[in-house]
Amino acid sequence: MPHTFKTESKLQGVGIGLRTLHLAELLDPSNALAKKVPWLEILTDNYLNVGGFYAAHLKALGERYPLTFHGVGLSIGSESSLNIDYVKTLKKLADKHKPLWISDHLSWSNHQEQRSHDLLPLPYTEKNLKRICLQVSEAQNILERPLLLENISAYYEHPDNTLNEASFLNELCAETGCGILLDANNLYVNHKNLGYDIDLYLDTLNFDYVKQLHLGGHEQREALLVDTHGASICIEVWEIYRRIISQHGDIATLIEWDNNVPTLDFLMIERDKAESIVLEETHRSDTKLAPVMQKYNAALLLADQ
Amino acid sequence: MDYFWQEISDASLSEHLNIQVYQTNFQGAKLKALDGNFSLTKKLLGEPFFIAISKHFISHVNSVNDSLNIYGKEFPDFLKAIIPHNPNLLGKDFIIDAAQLDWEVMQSYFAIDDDPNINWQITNQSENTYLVLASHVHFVNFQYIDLSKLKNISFDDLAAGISSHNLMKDLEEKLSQTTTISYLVVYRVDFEVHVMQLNKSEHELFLLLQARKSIFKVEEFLLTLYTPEQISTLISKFKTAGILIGIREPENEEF
Repeated sequence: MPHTFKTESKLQGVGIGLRTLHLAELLDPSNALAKKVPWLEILTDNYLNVGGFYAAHLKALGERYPLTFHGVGLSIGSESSLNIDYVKTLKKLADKHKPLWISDHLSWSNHQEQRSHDLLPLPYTEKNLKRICLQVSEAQNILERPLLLENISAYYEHPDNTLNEASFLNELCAETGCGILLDANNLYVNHKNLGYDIDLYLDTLNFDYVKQLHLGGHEQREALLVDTHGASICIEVWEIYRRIISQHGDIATLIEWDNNVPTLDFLMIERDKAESIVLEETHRSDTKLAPVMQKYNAALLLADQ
Repeated sequence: MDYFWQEISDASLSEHLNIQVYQTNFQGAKLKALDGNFSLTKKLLGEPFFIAISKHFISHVNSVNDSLNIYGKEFPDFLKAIIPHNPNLLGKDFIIDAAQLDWEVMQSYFAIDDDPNINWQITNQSENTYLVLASHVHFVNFQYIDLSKLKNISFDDLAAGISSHNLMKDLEEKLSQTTTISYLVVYRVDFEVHVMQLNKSEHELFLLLQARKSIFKVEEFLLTLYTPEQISTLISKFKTAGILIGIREPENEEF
């Protein structure tokens, strides 16, 4: 029976993903935009086994913001055994900076000794579930922390799938004590590319396990939507987000923007939008707050005009 | 999963759009890594030619490391191997030196920070005590570019200079094959990487330091070349640059 970890965290509000373009502003104590950022997500792989500029700015950011670690290199679904060296290096960094969460993806990247440096889709089978449960438990035991695993955007579905993704995630969390990082954009991309049923997915997923949400943009490439994190969040993804918050309450959310990175003030508009949805949806049914929300909505309307 | 890997790692583009996305990412990650790790080489070759060579390299060399910062170690040797067979590269052997410099500069830039407890405070030096080089110190031997006139030039200056006429002209005069080897040390000051030329004796000294030879053996070597005052000045120069960071006495280490 694998050891389970408590998936509790103080993480709240709508954070942003760190991009070096915004570094100076984020480290400027007088910057008004930076003051509104409640937490930062760093791409862990950029900071493993490096010193100099990267180590220095991570230390400075850690002194100013609560951090979460988000990785792409864990390859938890690989058929070869867990990459112990990677996890140990991650543990060392986590011990130093004490992130509120460590997350990676429900995917695989490594094949034998080779690295794809991409997030590849897994066959969702009982056999793989058992194997990945063991690897997640092993990773969590080394990290001495729970992991969050994110649903990836995919362009290919394995023909031998016997479970759907939401059920696979539920089972994984129940067995190992890990949590879910639900990316609303990835869900939408998979709906368009692979025909995922969004209603069924959200109804199946056990939201007790969902500890964090990601919102990002995608781009159309011929017949496919490609998850580039290089564009604004589309209306449909905002609607998925609104639905999640409306049904399950406030969940810590991150705005991801990795390519064609906009200015910090533009990124903060997206962040503010997510925050306003949280305010609207979490207070909608609270009659005592109705007058406050009316005033808030009126102010938003005025600001738009 | 094996079959999926075979498909996405296949260099010839699949007819299926969804597989193409993975194939593009599979190549793209490594292309981006080479682009970032070999900026000087790219400037010298020009972007289209650099990309063509990079694609050729990627088809031969897999990524086997978790970090893309260390993808491309074999790139200088790969260039050396293809130059005789590529008409566009004939006579451009200096590219090998540029790629080697690029590589060491990036390794220095990303090198882990040294243990702050390493210092100069060991009072009773023994046969095991050695001078510690900072982890960001790397070495390059230029075999095709003579940089004897360019001392203490930062990498940024060099890279920027390539695109400006003065330094380019200066370099062009040196880009023909040379019979002398230029020894360079690449090191980091704060967050900036510097390149310093070494003379042959200094280079020999660094080989001893790299091999962690006893401080007494290093002194013995230096005394064959310099006066005690000159040695003091030399060590002081490398201490000030942050190249030498202290002395250490490891346990169970043989010299």
